[in-house]
Amino acid sequence: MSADTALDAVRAIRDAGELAARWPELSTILATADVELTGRAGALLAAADHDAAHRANPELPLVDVLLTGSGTVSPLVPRLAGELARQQVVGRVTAGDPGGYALALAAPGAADVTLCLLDASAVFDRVPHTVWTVDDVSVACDELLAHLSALARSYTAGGGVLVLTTAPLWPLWADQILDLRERARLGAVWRRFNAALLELGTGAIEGVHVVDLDPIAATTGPARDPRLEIYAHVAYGDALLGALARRVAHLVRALRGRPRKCLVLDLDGTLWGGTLAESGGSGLDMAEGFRGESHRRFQRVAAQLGSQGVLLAVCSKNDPAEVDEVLRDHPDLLVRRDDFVTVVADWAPKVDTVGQVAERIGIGSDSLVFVDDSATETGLVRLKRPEIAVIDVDAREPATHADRLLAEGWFDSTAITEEDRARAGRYRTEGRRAEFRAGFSSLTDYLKELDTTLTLFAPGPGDVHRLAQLTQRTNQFNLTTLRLDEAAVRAALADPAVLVSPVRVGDRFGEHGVIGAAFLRRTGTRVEIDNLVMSCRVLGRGIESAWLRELLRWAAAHDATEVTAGYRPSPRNGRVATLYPDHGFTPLPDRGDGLHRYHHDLTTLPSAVEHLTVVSELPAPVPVGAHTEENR
Amino acid sequence: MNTAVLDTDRFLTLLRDETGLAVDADDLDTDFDELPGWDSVMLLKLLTAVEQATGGPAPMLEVLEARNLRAVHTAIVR
Repeated sequence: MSADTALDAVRAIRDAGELAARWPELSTILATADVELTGRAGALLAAADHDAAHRANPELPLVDVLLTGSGTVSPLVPRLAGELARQQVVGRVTAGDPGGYALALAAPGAADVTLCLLDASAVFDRVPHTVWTVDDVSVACDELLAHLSALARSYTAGGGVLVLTTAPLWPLWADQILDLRERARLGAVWRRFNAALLELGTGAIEGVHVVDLDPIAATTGPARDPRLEIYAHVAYGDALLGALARRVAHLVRALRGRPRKCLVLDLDGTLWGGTLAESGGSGLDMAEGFRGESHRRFQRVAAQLGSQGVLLAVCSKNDPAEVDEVLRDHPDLLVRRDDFVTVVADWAPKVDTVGQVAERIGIGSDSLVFVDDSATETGLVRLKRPEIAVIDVDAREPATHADRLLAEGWFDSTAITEEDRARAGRYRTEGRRAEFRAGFSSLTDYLKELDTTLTLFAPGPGDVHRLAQLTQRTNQFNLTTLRLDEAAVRAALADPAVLVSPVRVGDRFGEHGVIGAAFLRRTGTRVEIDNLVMSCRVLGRGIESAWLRELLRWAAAHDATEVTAGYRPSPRNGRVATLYPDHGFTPLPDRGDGLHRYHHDLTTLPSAVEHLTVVSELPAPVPVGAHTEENR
Repeated sequence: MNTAVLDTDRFLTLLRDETGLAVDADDLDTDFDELPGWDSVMLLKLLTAVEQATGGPAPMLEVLEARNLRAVHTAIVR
């Protein structure tokens, strides 16, 4: 949307008095807006009724933001208001008195989020004399830091969020020191002050975040205007304020919004230079030269995101086999097949296929961030799937890809845990199974290639927790719904007449872990199956058939002459009602106690399941007769 | 933008765009103290926009000393 069109659209909504009702549209209108345009749109939101907007759109967070600082902060109000609307937040932004940060932070937090915009004047206002030395500045820095730390602690004690900024040192100050060694020392003193401020935001004080203005000042300009500084006490220029507002909105989104989880990458022109279908894998640019180095940097940044728990996926218009070959074998690729949770390669428009990524790995499509160099693809996705975040990259300037990938901070989080990092592995396995399944015309072919192994084993003390959990959490594939706590499982393990047989499943993509358990009781030449439970995760592969066959085979091999079993219907376990009769069991007379009893005479075992490998590590039972009913 | 043709209509349009304030020709001679929603920071935004459009510095001090919009306009186009 062009700047004028976007602004007109926001103005039309405002003039129609529909801002509250149509608040979610603002993020769509401003999706591609730069900070300048977003700030202008924000000015149009000044008279909005935020409470009404939140009532009309309860899914959007209502966040009160108070701006304060060591200078005039009001120019930030419309910018932040616009940026928050752009992030689907109903942000009510108010500005405190110019220079009033000490007073504003002395009372407990009144807003959800308070932004304290610091600048060098906060330090130099504390320097007592007209003329000053680096030592004076050093003392002033220490005092201010102590003051700010104390304010930050008391201000956030009630649970509010305080965002502080660092304060860049302009040449105006440094150049007043003529001794060049002292000038360098001023720089060092100043950096120590800013570094200590940043330390406040590393978790030292709960609820305090610090935005580093140095990198923003270095990439936006002009960062200051001396006229604004003196005439209006506005410490920073428009470009810096715009970039800061955008970052603060990202922070609020990270605090309140739903996190994005998955980065969906286009291949040709995005992950690598060139067109796979035209040049083949060897003709792609991702190592050297203008294009190659650009895409190499992009790949490296993608890998960096992946290392921090972002799920990486591919959505490409290409031949799936060719894509697979490059992702597996290309010597220069930095993010490889195994780094992606799933790969969608198809000739259909991306707007129809990008959602498959979310379906395959079982996340919402509003967790996706889609990157593509085709304006047609990104435009359609924006239009038809507004819940998906979209990043445009320009294949003509691949050097800018990495910056564009990071610009919206889509994956920024207030804290990333080890569990977040590990999550990628789990989704990857799930995605690969789903993808693999899609490639087969028949279920049998799929199952054959899946190469599933089923292992029946004798449990140890370390399995007690999982066994109890299986009986307690499994509802659908639970034959008698006999729930056991850990003590009951331990008792069963200690009982020589009882055989507890957990089962482990793995396939070519990884281990499912312990997914089921059988509880058997040996009485003379009869084996009774007290219960059979299996997690739904692995249904549909014939595992239950192979498992039951192996239990029957084990009983027969160890001199049993019959196996009995029961099914007790529950509201949830209807799908296993015919499990036993389906595997050669015959019904026994009903005793009217709600348990359907079955019997197997072990003369004919159910047939083997071809696509499954069964490994039995079950021990031989205690010799027959040792624990018959007679001698117990 | 050529400031020579920044007539009061265009000036008011620019002002509305930059500040979001609903001002029209009737407000040109209103003292800033009487102008609803007025804030001197808005003037700075306007000046920045004028500077970006013309590529040259605007007389910020003179503009800040003005008491109404017509005086601002006069300072800019002079």
